[in-house]
Amino acid sequence: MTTLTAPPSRVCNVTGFVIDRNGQRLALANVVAGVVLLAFGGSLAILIALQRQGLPISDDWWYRLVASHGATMLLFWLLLFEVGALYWGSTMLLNARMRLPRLAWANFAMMVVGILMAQWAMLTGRATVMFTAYPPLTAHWAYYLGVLLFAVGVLVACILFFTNVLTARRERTYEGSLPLVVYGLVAAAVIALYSLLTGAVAYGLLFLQSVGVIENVDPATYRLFFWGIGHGAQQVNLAAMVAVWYALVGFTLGGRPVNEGLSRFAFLLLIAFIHLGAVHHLLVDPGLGTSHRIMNTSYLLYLAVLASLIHAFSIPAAMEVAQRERGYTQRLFTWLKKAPWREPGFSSLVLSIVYFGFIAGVTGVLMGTMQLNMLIHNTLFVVGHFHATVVSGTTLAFMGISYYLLPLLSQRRLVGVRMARWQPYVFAGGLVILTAAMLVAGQLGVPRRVADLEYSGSPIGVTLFETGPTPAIMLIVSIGALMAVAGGIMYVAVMVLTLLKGEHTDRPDAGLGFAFGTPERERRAAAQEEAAVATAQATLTAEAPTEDRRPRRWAKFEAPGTYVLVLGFLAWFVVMYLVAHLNLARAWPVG
Amino acid sequence: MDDVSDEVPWQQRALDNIWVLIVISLVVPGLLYLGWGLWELAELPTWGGG
Repeated sequence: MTTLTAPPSRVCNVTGFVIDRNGQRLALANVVAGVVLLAFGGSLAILIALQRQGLPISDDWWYRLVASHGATMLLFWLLLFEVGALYWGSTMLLNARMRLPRLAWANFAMMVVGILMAQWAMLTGRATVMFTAYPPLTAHWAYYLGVLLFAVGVLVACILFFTNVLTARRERTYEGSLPLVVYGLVAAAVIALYSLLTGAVAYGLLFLQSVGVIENVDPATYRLFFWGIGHGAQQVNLAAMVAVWYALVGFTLGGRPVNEGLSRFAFLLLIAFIHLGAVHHLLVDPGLGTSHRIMNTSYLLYLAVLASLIHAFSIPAAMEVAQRERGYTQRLFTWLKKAPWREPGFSSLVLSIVYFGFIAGVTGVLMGTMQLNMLIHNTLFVVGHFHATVVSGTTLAFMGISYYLLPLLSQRRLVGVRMARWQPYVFAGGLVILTAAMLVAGQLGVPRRVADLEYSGSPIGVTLFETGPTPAIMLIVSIGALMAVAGGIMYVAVMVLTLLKGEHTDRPDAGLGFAFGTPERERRAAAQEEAAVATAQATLTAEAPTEDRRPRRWAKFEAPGTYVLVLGFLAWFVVMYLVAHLNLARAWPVG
Repeated sequence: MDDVSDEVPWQQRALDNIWVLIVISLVVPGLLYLGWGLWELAELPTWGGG
């Protein structure tokens, strides 16, 4: 008797790639688990925001909520989604097979168990140590073990990803060099290794202390190791986000980077230097010398900033070149005006890049400057910065690619297309209000991670909220948070409806009204045809000059509009730096 | 990544090599952030609670 089972792979009718079913299911499971956690973390955000406007939540519960919100959003949601992206990139984008799928499923189960343990400890008040968990604060052992299980799970997922990529190369499932999107995911996984190893040391020490094996953990040493993962995990997010940006340019415009070698070099700079930025969390730590702190944050880190600037030019340039190749060549910004703004992937991409560059990146570099850091350390400014990076940047980019990934992985047609079109604007609109208000509040001295901002009953009086604009700004923070949550609800609704109600089809792209990039087989056929035409033309017109149809004043530039945009960004950077130093001069007058 | 196609330039092959990338990612921050930092902390008289 023969048993009918699904073949281990299929050909995707949308992209033309060979899809390994194990890789497909594993990627889908991790992405869906990530979205569930995003919904959970977002619901905690509502309570945290409303507490600031008088919702009666006890201080004890507020710390539980913030601890869980931080761990859920900064670690669990993003890293689960990234594991899904790693499985997707290393199998589907390489026409390759998923190695050791049973191990991958067991690993997924271990990560879920770790998350449940950590959440139990945080929400029952046994681990209100917040995301940083600095000793001598002590939590229940289940919290440390839960986070460790999750971190080991991500580490195993990275190793499985490397195994898939190496197998694909050995079996020659793709030609030439790794595709740039997969290369970006390699960078993310490589960055994750160091991050997870340092995190294992930090949380391992605290776990051993919590079960009584060791007596105490040196706080300064802990902080040094912790920020290897505390900030390092965000650098994994950064590299994965940039990879997703390149993928979205391909999905929405069929665009390719103008100089792929330069983009790869930028990923190498991130791999080598991005971890050094973690020292900016330690700028007020007295144990570390000034040379260590300033050399890492104000000199060496700039090599990683250079990488971000390269990507910040390369990706908009890829968009512009793709649009100009479609015929939108008339003016400096016609290509941008005629871009597919109704496609959620494109709007997410642009909003993510703009907010990440103009708010997150600039404030990050400002905070990395020692003197400026002294002004805003442990204020709401820091919270504004990382909501701009992790939420406006990474989460928005991940949401954008979900509108393509989920239909491809689940083979279901997207439900709620109209809501999907509006979602990036609502989410990003809320976030720009939230982060701008947080940055201003931080500059006014509003502290972070304090349940009672007025320090009621404290022997030291605080007059921050008696006069001045602070209460109004905190109201704007809450309004921005609620608007962002509304955008998040729209996203989760589209994902859930698609999974539950979406039509099962092998053409999930049909009828959506937005593109899924250039299918792989068509791209290959077009490349072959283009090569044949170029060879024929070269034979016939070896010496003939080619006509340049671009306007004369921009004839030297492949992407003139991007060049102007980048100059605008540079001007913004300079202005922000001057404003920050003006504030510094007011705080510490010279003479 | 031992057997890479011949048409890929050696520079790109080097950047494509996962092992090279892993070594860079561990050595650079391992020395400049962690090693240097631990060295400085170890010079403190109270390091480790001592």
